[in-house]
This record gives sequence, C-alpha cells and structure tokens, in this order.
Amino acid sequence: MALSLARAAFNAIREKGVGGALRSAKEQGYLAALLDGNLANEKFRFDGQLIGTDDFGNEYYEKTTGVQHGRHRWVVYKDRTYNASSIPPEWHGWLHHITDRTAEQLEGLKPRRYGIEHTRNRTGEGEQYIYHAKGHALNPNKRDWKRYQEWIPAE
Amino acid sequence: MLRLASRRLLQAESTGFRWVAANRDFHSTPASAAPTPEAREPKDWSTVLDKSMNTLFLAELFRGMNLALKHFFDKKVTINYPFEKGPLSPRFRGEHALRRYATGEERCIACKLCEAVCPAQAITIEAEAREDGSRRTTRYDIDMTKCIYCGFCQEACPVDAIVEGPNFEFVTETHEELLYDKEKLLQNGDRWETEIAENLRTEGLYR
Amino acid sequence: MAPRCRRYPLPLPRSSTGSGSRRFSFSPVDSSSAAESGVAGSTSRALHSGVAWYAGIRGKFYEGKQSSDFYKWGSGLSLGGVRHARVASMAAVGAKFEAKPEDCIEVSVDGKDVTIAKGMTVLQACEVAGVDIPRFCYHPRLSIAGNCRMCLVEVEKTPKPVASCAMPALPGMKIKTTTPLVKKAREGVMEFLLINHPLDCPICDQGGECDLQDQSMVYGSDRGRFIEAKRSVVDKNLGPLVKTVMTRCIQCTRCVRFASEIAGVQDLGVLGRGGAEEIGTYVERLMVSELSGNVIDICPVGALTAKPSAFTARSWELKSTESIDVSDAIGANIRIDSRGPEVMRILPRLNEEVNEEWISDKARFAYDGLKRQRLNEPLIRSADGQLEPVSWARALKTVAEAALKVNPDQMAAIAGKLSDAEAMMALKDLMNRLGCERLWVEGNGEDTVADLRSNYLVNSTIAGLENTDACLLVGTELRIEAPLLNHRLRKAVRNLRAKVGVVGPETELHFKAEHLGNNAEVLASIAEGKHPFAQTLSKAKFPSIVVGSGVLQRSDKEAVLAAVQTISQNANVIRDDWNGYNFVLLNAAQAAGLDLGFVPGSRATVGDKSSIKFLYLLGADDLTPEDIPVDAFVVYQGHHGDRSAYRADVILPGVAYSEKEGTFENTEGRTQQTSPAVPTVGDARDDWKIIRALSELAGVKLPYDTLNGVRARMLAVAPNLFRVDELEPATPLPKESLPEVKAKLESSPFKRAIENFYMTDPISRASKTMAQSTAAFSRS
Repeated sequence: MALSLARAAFNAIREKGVGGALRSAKEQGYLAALLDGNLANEKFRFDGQLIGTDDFGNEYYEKTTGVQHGRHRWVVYKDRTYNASSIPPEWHGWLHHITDRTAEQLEGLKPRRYGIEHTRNRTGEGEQYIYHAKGHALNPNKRDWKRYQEWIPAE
Repeated sequence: MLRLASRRLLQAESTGFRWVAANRDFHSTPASAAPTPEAREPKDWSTVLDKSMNTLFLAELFRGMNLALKHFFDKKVTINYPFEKGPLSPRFRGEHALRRYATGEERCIACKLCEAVCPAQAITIEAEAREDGSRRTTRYDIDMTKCIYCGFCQEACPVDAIVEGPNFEFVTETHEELLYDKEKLLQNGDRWETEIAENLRTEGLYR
Repeated sequence: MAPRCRRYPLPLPRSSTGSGSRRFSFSPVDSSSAAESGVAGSTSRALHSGVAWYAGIRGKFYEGKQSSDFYKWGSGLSLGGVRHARVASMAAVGAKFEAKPEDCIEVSVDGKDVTIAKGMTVLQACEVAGVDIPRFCYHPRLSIAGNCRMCLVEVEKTPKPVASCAMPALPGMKIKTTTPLVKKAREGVMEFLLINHPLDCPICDQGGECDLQDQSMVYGSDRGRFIEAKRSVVDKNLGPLVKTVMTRCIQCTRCVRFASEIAGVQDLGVLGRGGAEEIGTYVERLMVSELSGNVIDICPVGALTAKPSAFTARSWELKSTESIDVSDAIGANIRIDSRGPEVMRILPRLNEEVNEEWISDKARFAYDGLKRQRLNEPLIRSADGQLEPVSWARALKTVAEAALKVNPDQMAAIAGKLSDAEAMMALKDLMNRLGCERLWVEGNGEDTVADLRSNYLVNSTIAGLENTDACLLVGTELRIEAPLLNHRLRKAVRNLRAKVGVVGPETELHFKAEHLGNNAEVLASIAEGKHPFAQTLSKAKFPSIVVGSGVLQRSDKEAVLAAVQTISQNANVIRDDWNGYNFVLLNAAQAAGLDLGFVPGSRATVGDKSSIKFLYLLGADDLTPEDIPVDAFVVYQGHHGDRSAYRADVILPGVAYSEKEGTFENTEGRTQQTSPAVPTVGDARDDWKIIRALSELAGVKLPYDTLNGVRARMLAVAPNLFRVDELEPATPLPKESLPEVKAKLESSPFKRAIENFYMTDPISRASKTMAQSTAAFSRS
C-alpha cells in the first residue's frame, strides 16, 4: 500500500508539479483524509479495481486477491462527510456481499413506472429534511384521528 | 535488606490473596474452589525472587503492551465500516417496505394477516374500499420502536407486499420518526425495490 | 340459556301426532310456496316440528344437565354467535311441547345410542349425540336442500355414504361419522367445492369466520389437481346493503331459501345448472326486504357480505358486546362488534323469544349514523343567536336558572324515541320535583293513559303471534313498523294458514293478506259483526288483533280503540289461555315510558302547547316547529344534532345506545339492557347523570348517585323494569271493567305511521347507509 501510494504521489507530481499535485490532492479530498484515519484507509488504497460509480458519484472498488476476505469491496464516498446510508439500493447489495451483481446487472430489476431517488438518512439535519408521519403536526396531510363527525350548528 | 523487601512483598501478596478470596466470596464461588494461602506460599527463594522481579519491573504490563504493539503492526481484521460493509444475507430482515406491482399499483390488499401475526403488535391497519372497489388500506402504520424484526409479517403476507428490506441504516434522532405510516413505507418500497426484487429472486426457490 | 318463561303456554296441536296433520300439509299456503312446494318444503316443516318435539323429550330425559349439554352441542367448527347457538335454539323452541315416549326412536351414532324424536334427520341425530357434521346448505330454520353434500355420513348396510341433512333417521340406524369412507367422501366433496372457489380469502370479508375456510382446514387438500381456469360469475347488484361476489358462491341456495321462506320476497333464484349454475335475481332488480341483511349471516362463504362495512374490519380484531337494538320497539338482541372507539358492525344474537336469529336492516346497518352528526360538547345559544361551546357547569347552570324562572305549569318534557328507562326515570323525577307533570314520550301521543298495561303491549308475545290462525291488522304497516313481528305473523300464515285482514293503509306484507279497506267504517262493520272477517275471527281458535301505534295520532283514537275492544270481545280474542290483543309500539322508549308513567299527570294535561315556556327534550326530534312556541326556552339533551338541536337554546350532549348501559322495554313488555360497546364521544355524559347534575343546580337534588340507585327507584315505580331479560305479561282486565267510550269514529283513512322505514330516528337519519337504502328501496 505504501508503495502504491508513493507511486501514485510520484506520478501526480511528475504530471502536474508539486503545486498542481497538491491542489488536485486537495480537490480530491486527499488532504482532508490525512486528518481522518478511517477515510485515509480507503482513500489511499490505490490497488483496487474500480467496479462502478453510482449516480451520486460514490465509487465502488474491489480487490479480490491479496486482501482479507470481507474487506475486498469498498466504497469511496463522493461526499466528504461520508454517510453510510447514502449507498443506493443498486449498489447496496453488492457492497454488503449479498449479491455479486452490480448496478448495471440489476438495471432490469429497477421499476420503470415508479420509484424515487435514493436519499441518505437525514435525521437530525433539520425538520425540513425528515419524514413526518401522518400523525405528526408537521405533516401537511395531518390525519384527523377523531372517529366521529361532530355536529356543526349550521344556519 | 532483601529479606525485608521479600517479606513485605509476601505480606502484600498475602493481602492480595485475601482480597482475591474476599472477592470470590462476594461472587459466591464455593469456598473450596479458592486456593488456600498455604498452597500458594512460595516454596523457595528463587520463586520469591522471580515474583518480586516481575512485580518490580512491571513485566506483565510490558507483555500486554507488547501484544498490543504486535497487533498494531498486524494485518487489520476490522471492517472499516462506512467504507467496507459486513456481509448480509439476502434474507436479512431490516427496514420495512411496502411494495408495488410493476404497474405501480400497491400490492397491499389489507388482509390484515401481518397485523394479526405481529407478536409485538407493532402494525396497525385500517382499510376500506377504494373508489374503484378494490380493497386497500387507508392506514398502515408500523411502530418501528415496537417491531422486533421477526419477519412474521413478510411470512404472512400473501402478496409479498410488506417486506423487511436490506436497509438497517435508518436510525433517527427522535422517536416520532420511527413511527412509520403507509406513505413512508411505500416510499421505502419505491426506493429499495431494485434490491428487494433481487433478494426475492435469489431466495424464491427456497421460500 | 334456559328456556324463558311464557305466560300463556299454548296447548297447540302440533305437539301430538294425531292432530299434527296441519304441520305436514302439502298445500301451498301463500304466494311464496311456489318456490318450495313439493316434497322438500313439506319435509322440512315436518322435520322442524320433529326438532321442537325432540327438545321436549330432551327436557324430560336429560333434566338437570341441560346447560352443559347445550355447550357441548353448540361447539363445533362453525363460528359466529348465531350459528353456535343453533342447538340451543331448538330446545328453546320446543320447551312448550310435551314429550311422548312412543314418538321416540333409538339410533346409534358412532357406537353411541341416542334417543331422538321421529322425523328427525340423521344430521340432527348426530347433533343430539354431540357429533358435529360439516354442512353448508343445511340451516335449521330453512327448508332442506341437500345440495352441498358436505354432510355425508356412513350408515351401516347402505352401499354409499348418505347426505345426513336430508335423510330421515330410522329406528336402529347405525350411523358412522368417523370412518375413512366418510372422510374420503367429504374430502372429495370439498375438492369439488374448491374447484371453482377462488383463492381470495385474504380479501374476502368472510375470511376468519367462513364455514368453507374452516371445513377446508379439516377436509381440504393442500394442493389442487385442477389446472383449468376457475369460472367467474358476474356480481349481482342487490342494493346498497348486500355486497355480492358471486364467484365465491358454492350454490348452497341458503339465500334463495331465506328470501322465499323467511323474507317472503321471490327475488332470488338459481339459474342454470352444473358449472353454469348461478344465484341471481331473474331480472335485474334489488332485493327489497327489511330483513335482507340476514342473508349475509346465513351465507356460509363470502359470496354475500355487508356492503357498508366492506373491507373495514376482520372478524378477529373485533370486540363483541351483547346489546339490544333500539331502532324499533321489538328490542332485537344484537351483538355490537367494535374496534377501538368505533362500531364496526352489528350482528343478531339468538333469542328465540324476540328475534330468533334475524334482525332488520335498520338495526344492522344504521350504526354508521353513530359516527356522524354527534353532539360532543355542551352548547349555549348566545345573545347573537349562535350556539357556542361552554363548560358543563355553565350549561347546566343556564338550564337550571331558566327552569326556575318559569312557572311549573309552563314547563314540559318530552322523551325521545331512543330514551332509556333510567334517563326517563330521572327526568320524570326532576320535572315532578320542579312541579311539572306535562311529560310524554314521543310516539305515545300527548294524552295517553298508561293505566291498562295490557292495552299497550303485544299480549300474545312476539313469539306467540306465530300461533295465531286469524289476525286483524288495524292501522299498521307491520312489515315496516316491526319487521320481525311481521315475520312471526308470516310464519303463522305459512305454517297454520292464518287468515290476515288489514284495515289501514294498503301495504305489501310479503304474505297473503286481505286488504279490507282503509277507513274506520270497515272497522265499525267488523265490530258490529257485519263484515265477513268478523266471522273469520270468531271462528278462529287463536284469533288476534294487531293495532299499530299510529292509531294514537288520530283524533278519534278512543273510538278506534273502543271498536277494536268490541271486536276482540266479539271474537273472544282475550281469554284465560290466550290473549290476542296486540298493540304494536313503534319506538324503543315507548313501553318503558308508559310503565314508568312518563305521561301527562292527572292534574296537568298537555293542553295548549303555546303556553310552554320551558321545554326539555330528551332526544325528542319528531317535533314540528308549531309544537315549540317561539318564546320557549328549549333544552335539548341527546346524542345527535338532529331536527330539534337547531331550535335548542341549550344542548346537553348525551350518549347513544351503543355507549351506555340502559334499560329498554320492548313492545311485548320484555325488559332488556344495552351494554356499552364503545366509549362516549367528546364531552358527552350518561343521560341520567346529566339530569342528576341538573337537579342539584336546580335545587331539587335527586336522591340517587349511581346507576343502581336509579334502578332502585325504577324498581319502586315499575318493578318489571328491574327484572332484566324477563317478560312481564300484562294481566288483561275483565271485560266489564273496560271504560265506556262515547267518541265517534271518524271517516278519515288510517295514515302511515312510518313514511320511510330506513330513517326513523336520529341515528338512522344521520346514517349514510340508510340514506342510500332510502334512495334504492324507496316505497313503490
């Protein structure tokens, strides 16, 4: 890993110069990864094969040889504040080792006539981002739980 | 000098033993199981010396730290969670979802079998005839904080409408967000259909 | 469920073999007989008499262990209260018959010898032995069809299994119900039934209480051998009450038999044969009957289900509460099925003496009115004429102040149709303490005398009316006013070929009845003996007269009642062993109101209504604006914002019958109690409690604080209202003591007491289902 990291760094510097390499490293989040060990662990893992990229830009890698089983598939999140729930269902099964089929292979199962875009779990980000059930005061279609209709003295 | 030190050590050791014995008593281990002080008395000076050296130079502490250091340089077995994820079964019972037919028509026919079978009584259903005369729910609530994820609801469902999908990353900050209603469950179904369908397809043979 | 006591045990001919020929008669007795003429119909009648008979024997043989036997017999696979109580009903019917040992035969069922009555079927013999036979087409109250074949049993020395429902038991028969042959035969039948039965139990409203579902658990296979397409049948439109899914039909023809034999409408029939067999209306038409909802109960599968409650509830999630129907004066026993705070459906409960196992459509389907137009908080009319919600304390204080401002002579109280006896008792006590005696119950008229109890009750009892052999209906549309009483009379017509004459508005009674005219002259001529029907009545063994309480609204009601008295004297209607004088009440509150003396006191007649300054309405809604003076202070205590609520100055929200424990007396004088099935709505309170609280504020504190306290007071006033589920018959007075009436009959025709069967009270007027029924089944 260290070797591949050094090689990648060397290549980048040779192509863009030191300043350019640093700038692109910053843009691609490599500098931020230096402060986050977990992030760095995947960010500086250059020996994987890119299997695909989802609609949100998350990249899915796989390395089948020379790696501990169970750690052979990983995702590099587009978002720097990575959120585990931002994996869309096409890739969720692949990443969780449920299936070996990638998003392209599951394309046929994607419903044509309905379906909504995947969103990450946004709890705690504010009232406007979370779903309020029918009983909740903030649901615009708040349900009336009264089981009888009262008489309204009309004129 | 050495003798004095060893005596003190001995005293310390014996108090330690007493402490251990008391501790055992506290945990109600049979008294006979505890080693008697006589049996553990050092027999000769070399043993005493070994023990004193171990204690004096914190040998056990360094042995432990050595182990930690060894694992520090070892290959990691921990899965680096949000980037790498642990394996799940296609039958994994996670967040609930209400599915639709390919036409977009909701599957649930309000038979209320899931409500009846739910051991935690987490499901509440109300139904009536829709304008076109078909039997549909007007209310399908699951209290996810009551749910025990037993999967009986999806077993009971005659039309594969309610399923427990593969998603388990639905923690919320408030309790209310976990009181799912029909709209939320249908949204879940719409979102997760690709993977749910794949899982049902692979497991279809064995169901 | 011990057989209830009957005041007039009738020595009826059907108990003896010798003179029992009437029961076995083949000749059609009314228009409906065409559908079931011939062997099947007559056999069934014979069989049913056999059942009744047997029960008498059982009473003799098995005395002392009745109740345990009942439950054993009743247990079985079939669900539902009505069906459970099937066997118990037999005993109740037959309690009045004498057992004769020579009419008994002995058969063996699964090696157990049982003694049964002659004429019973193999199936009934098995029931006596405690063996439950699966059945779909057999129903104890209908003729025997024998077409489902599910009840196959093996009889020794017969080559093939026999359909036990249609096979008379013979002496010494050895019946076997547990042999492999029987199981295989029934499995074969079940497989055939399931060929075309759809697999839609999850969306079927019968699911969970379905006979076919239950039986297929026992006799069904887990896989089918048929790969052909299932047949599908177009659904029939039977109106807004009964939903049909004809694909589920297994052609048991119970509904067809019910329609022609019980309801008396020839609308349903079987079309086609074999795989093309269908139940339907011959031409596209609705099933117009006040009892049509009962086909839902008798349908063993989900072909006929309740349309108003379609898809709303499952049988297993409902809480059942045994209660009493208040939509008419019959007091049908009902079971209120509720889920949480909602009434989901109403089903009949078995009571042989009152409603058998049927209820009227209004009783069954008006419950959605309980959820609409409810009064849920006290309201006061403010200075600008708007009703405003206020606290209970303020509402009651306003009423008390208004009442104390008014001279007692200018006060009046009217109890509505649905008032329970407790509330009427409390209101009567309150008004009397305030010095007011102008009280009356809606429907009883304003100057009714409640002195002669036998004058306002169905003295023959509801069940007893089916023993009459000549009946004169006076000013009543019995089918609309009391459908279940009409059914009893229909039974008399069918079984005993009773002659029925009608004086009053011309109406279809669903049995053969002679319309004698709609004016008082006819009545007078019968009273004078000139009319031929007078002879019919006097020749009859058990003559009866049914007077509708619509008569009370006539100005010459005393003369009419006097004429009826004369007729009953001439025809010997009231004897020691038989009292055929029946006065049919319209509303649930009437009988109890009369018993409690909720009538204008002797010192204060209603008189001029324009003098009323303070009017207390206990759910009374059938008032015209002219009845209420403009300057009167009107208090409306009730559960629905119906007609009177618009005029009220103060509204006190009370509770409906499904929410309270109230005592009601039905038209035959039987005291029954409702039970609360659902919680009250909003801020509403029990009616008697409101009156009790008001009495304290008005300074005339009533002496009772509990429901039992009110009942103790009722015990003092009308002891019969304290004896729940008991029939308190009225003692007829000797003829000489009847008052002499000088009033003259008027020539005006008898008016209809009920214009629209489906909407008579605040609950049914608020009901959407009843509105739809009105539109669909409007009076032709």
